[in-house]
Amino acid sequence: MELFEEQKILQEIASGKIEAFEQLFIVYQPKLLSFLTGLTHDKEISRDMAQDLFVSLWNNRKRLNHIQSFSPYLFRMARYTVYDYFDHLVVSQKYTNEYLKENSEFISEEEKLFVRELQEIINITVSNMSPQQSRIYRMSREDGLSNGEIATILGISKRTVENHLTAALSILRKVIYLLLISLSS
Amino acid sequence: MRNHERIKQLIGLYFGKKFSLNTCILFGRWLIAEDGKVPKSKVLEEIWRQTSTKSTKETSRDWMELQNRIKPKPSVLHSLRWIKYAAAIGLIITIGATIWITGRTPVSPTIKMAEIFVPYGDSQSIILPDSSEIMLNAGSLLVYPVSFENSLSRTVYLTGEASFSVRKNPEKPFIVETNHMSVRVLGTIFTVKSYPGDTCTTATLEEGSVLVKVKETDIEAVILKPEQQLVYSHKSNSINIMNIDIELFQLKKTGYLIFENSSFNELMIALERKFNVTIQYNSQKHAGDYYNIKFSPEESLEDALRVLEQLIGIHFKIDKKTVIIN
Repeated sequence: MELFEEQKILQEIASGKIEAFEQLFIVYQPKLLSFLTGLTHDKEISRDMAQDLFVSLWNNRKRLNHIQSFSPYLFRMARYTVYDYFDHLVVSQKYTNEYLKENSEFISEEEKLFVRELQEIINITVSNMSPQQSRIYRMSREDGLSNGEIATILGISKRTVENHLTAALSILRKVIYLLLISLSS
Repeated sequence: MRNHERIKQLIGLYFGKKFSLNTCILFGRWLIAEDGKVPKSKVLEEIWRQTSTKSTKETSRDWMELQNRIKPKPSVLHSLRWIKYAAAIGLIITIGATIWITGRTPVSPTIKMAEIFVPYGDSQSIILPDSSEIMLNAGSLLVYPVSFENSLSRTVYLTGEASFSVRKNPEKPFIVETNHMSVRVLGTIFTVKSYPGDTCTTATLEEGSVLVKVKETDIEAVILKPEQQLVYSHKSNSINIMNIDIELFQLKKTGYLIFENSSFNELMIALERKFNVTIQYNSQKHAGDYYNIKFSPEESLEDALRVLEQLIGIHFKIDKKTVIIN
């Protein structure tokens, strides 16, 4: 969409013209849908997400008056939507660990390659932590030791263990290292 | 390798594939982790810029649906349970697409359409402006013109199952459009069944005559005689016409669930529709078995499942709107 034309359309939408909104939808919804589907690997859910996003665009249409360029704006909304989606997905799938072990042999080579790469990236992240942090992190997540046990082994207070772990986890928030190991082994 | 390059490579390996849910979750965990938020977002933005997709029929369908959401009109829409509604609305493609193809600045169609959606576990009858009567079965969507006055025909769009009792009017044929089939009525009582996800579309005639045309095929249009049923199989792209027991068929219309030589799968789908529940079961377990069963209208879901318990030896558990069978 030409920039000038886009500005005009955005202003028309802000003033409540539904035909203008339709034009915007026709141009951007397919792009949004491909982007969301590319990341969620689930077309139906992505469709619902895209629809919700456009509903919210329409409900907050006054804001479009102040937007210079629509595409980056839509991208930011899409990105939040994706983060939000994964946030919920991660929380809702507590039993992934066992399921994963059972099913790991059925996945494609392409998928295995991806998982190996992902693990490597996380390895790098862990190795970039301070030595003490990464050690405590590994003891906790790989060896499954409790904070009390780690404190005894390293001869530090339990509180210090907790502090280190919190720091390590804030770096790796929600990435559970063990899951990856069980998949690739 | 630089961090940015690594992230780019990783997201590249993932984007647009169809991985297992678990792998998607792992990716999600990594993506939303605090570490490297900025480079991750940069890579996503690059992908965003490179993603360009043209609008399709689906886009116009989605627009139609969106329009309904953002300007709620006084329609007879019953329930907006999205997923099912979205599935049911597939048919509107036809309407939407026509508007696009003509290339006019998209305006609302000149013929005002109304729609009625009957959720699972329900059925409803309506009377059209020409006083034809339609009985809509569970999980069905019907789109019809508010008035037939300015049109040459009386065309309605159906997803799901409906029985029609059509007022005779030789000047304005009555047409039922579904995804796969179009049924042209020559004054009469008949039923069309076309649920999304079903493997076949069915037209059954009780009285009068109808002309049935399967869309986008070479199959010639067929005139059905009373007490005949035409089944179009989507998979084999073929039709089968058989004489049916019309009394049995009419019983079904009054709320009986009747299965003759039906698979376990068909049984479950019908129960899901009638009682608006989700049934979880192992579809392999009963594959190849066929059943003859009749449930009367007053039988509850539990009654029906008890019958199956006795008959087939299933075990079931009802938890609100979900039934688990093993």
